[in-house]
Amino acid sequence: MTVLATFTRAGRTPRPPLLLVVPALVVGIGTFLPAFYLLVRALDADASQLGEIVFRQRNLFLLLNTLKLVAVVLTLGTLIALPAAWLVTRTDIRFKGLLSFLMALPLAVPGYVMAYALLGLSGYYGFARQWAGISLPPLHGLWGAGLALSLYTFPYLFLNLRAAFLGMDPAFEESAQSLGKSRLVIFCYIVLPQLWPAMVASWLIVGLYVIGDFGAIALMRYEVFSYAIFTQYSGAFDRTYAAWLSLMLLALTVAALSAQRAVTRNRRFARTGSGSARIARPVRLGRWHFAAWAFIALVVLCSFGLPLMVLGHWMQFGLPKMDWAQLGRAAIGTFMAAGPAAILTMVLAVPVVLLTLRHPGLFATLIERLAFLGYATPALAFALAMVFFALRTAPFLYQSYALLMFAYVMSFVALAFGPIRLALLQIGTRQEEAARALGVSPAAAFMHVVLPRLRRPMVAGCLLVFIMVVKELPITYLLAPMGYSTLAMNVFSRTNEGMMGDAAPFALGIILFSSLFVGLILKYEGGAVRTAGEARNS
Amino acid sequence: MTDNLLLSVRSLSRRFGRKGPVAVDDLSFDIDTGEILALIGPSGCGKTTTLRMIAGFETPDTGRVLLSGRDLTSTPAEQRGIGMVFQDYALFPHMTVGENIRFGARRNGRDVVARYLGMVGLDGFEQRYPDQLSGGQQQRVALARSFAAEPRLILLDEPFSNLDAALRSAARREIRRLLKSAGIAIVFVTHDQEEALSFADRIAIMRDGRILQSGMAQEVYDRPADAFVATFLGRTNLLEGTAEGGFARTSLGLLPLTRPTSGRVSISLRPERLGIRAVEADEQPNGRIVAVEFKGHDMTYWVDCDGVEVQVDAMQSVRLAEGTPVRVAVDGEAVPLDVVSL
Repeated sequence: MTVLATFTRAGRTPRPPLLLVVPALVVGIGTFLPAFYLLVRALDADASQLGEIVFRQRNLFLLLNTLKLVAVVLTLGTLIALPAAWLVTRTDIRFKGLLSFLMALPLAVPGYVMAYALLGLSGYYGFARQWAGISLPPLHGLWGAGLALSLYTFPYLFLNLRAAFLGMDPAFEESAQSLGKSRLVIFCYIVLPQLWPAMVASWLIVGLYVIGDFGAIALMRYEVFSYAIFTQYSGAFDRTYAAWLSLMLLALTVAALSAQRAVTRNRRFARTGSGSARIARPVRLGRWHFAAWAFIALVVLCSFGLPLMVLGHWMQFGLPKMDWAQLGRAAIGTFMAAGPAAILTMVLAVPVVLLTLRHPGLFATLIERLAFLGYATPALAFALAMVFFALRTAPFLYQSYALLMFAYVMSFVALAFGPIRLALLQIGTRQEEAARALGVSPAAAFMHVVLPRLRRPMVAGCLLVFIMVVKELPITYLLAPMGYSTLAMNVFSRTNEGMMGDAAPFALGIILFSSLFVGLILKYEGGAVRTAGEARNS
Repeated sequence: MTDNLLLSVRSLSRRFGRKGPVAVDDLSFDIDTGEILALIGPSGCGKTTTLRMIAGFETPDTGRVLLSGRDLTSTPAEQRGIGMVFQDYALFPHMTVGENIRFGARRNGRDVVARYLGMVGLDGFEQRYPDQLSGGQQQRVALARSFAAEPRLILLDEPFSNLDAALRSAARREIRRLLKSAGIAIVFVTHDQEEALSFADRIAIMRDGRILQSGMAQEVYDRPADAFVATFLGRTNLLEGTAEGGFARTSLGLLPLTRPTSGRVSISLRPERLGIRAVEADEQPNGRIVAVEFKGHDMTYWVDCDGVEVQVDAMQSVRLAEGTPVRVAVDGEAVPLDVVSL
């Protein structure tokens, strides 16, 4: 019966508890701050200047370039992630754990390293020509930036799709099979629609990432909003125009968020059947094994092998004059920034997701949209907004550890929503109701019945935020306390001065640091809805 | 009202969305201690919504829910002392059977789990996980879990729909005996008339959010108020006729009625209330068999009586072939029905 769907959608829900409202308010206000600052900044311009700025033809050019880049990255990313996710969840391919790890590994590669690796591959002095004698046309502009971005953002798609595949009840596919449908028809009509929410959610994450990224884009010299904002802030010092560009970027984000809402509205994916979900019977690859492995090898080589080769190349110059003490300090600094930020983010994310699912309404929707807005706000603008507010309202917070944490949490909180939301949807509300019918308070029911099964997605979300903070640059750079140093700051300052060899150990440090945690993500993610019994047997 | 009155539902209404259809419409009923009431109706008639309002998972737009005279309407679900067993049982998959039962148990003794498991005949299953149990076992664990919270009333949502047919009737009998010996009152929801009739003391037939008729199972079956109730609770013959006092003239001849009435009437006549036999040598038949349905221990004949098709249930004593001219006779009284729009 569709009772659950009917009841969660319709009618009035009781007033949400303060335990959910307060964190939601914190998130809402925190993520709204940057947009507010941008508005204040943008309105600094006088009236005559205003019209000229807003209707500059260049804006349209930047918009088109940004949209083209998003389209290229999402297409390439999906072409990599969807087959890979299917291979590791639905086929009899071996070493699934290792493969998943390899597919998630590019998360550990900072964007600027990926772009540099691609640049180093092509062109006259490129690796391809020096090592293999093949002269590739120089990768620049749209395709260069698109390739670089998809090669290190596809893991987001992969992880989300993999989790969706694992959480899907194979009974749907089996019943379609029993109706005499072919594998292809089942994939198109049964599997894809169920993957849809995960797909759209990760497209949104990656899309927002693309329009906010500037490292890879700057190296590829592709002019999009974020690149233009960066040059306005750092080079031209026209902060009013930069604020306007940022506002346009935000408008784009709002449009993307509304589009996502439109395509996934009113869908429910809680299982309604009895008993527990089983693991699907794997598809036999047979002769396709070779093709599958070739595909995976190519993806791994491009996304992880290439940056490693380039870094290895630089290491031979960097290693002899290595400052080990500095590397150690930077590693500890990175951990002290990313660890607490990840945990704080999760503490705020769980109540907000609960609010949006259990007490849907204007307030919950607003908070969720604001959180995504915070995530989509270009990190540079976000950081400057925080500086501005600290100086205006509480100078003692400026360049304090607390403000740094606040900025991390507010810009990454939306990232933690995905895994928790998926797990909560799949757990459904009936078991909490069963617990309450046994005389247990709503809070206790949640603690005992839902929370234990949220542990895995929570850890996965934590690790995701952790890695993002490890690689994050603009916020750290602008808000870190004096003398505070992280791996990313070291890579950036050294690369900026052209000391590629000096930067290499720190970049390698980031990659090692993050790949360790990517491995941990895989250990925890995807098992969200598995029952204890299955977890025990596996 | 009796002294054992346990639950009173008064004028409960619930509408989904401001302009949406009414799911439950001014519903009232009572249940005594230890009584089993079935809410039966087609899907979408509002029976599950009613159950959830009693449990406290839905807030009624109007009306009240009283347990032993105490108004529970604004009491949260967990403080009502009303148990609920869900259609899919909602066992906590990350807890063992023992942990599931201990979760809601009112008492904290060492033997609590063993006692309730023993009650449902699952001794020794304490360490199992829900996914290691069959459907019937899961259901019994869900019941044991509810019992352990010691409610006076348990709500069951389609309790037997997830069990296979072979298990269903056995489970029904066993659980009914269990509930009766525990003295727990039950409201359960079903769309299966056989389940309602065999499991409940009293049934209430719902349609479009209202109760059409309620009463003892046999009484409602024997004297349905209208054609909907008559057809929903098993098979029946709906005949048109003209009534005069205690009799009605129909295509089957003059029939005695359960209550006197007059004018044009619709009447319901259960197939098992009709007798059938082959005509004797010089006898005039009043019908001809057009179809025979062999069902093992009994048979159903479809008889054309003067242009009206009538079903007749007969035991195996007579076996007649298709096309046989027969005499159909009424054994008992026909029920005149209220006029309703179907």
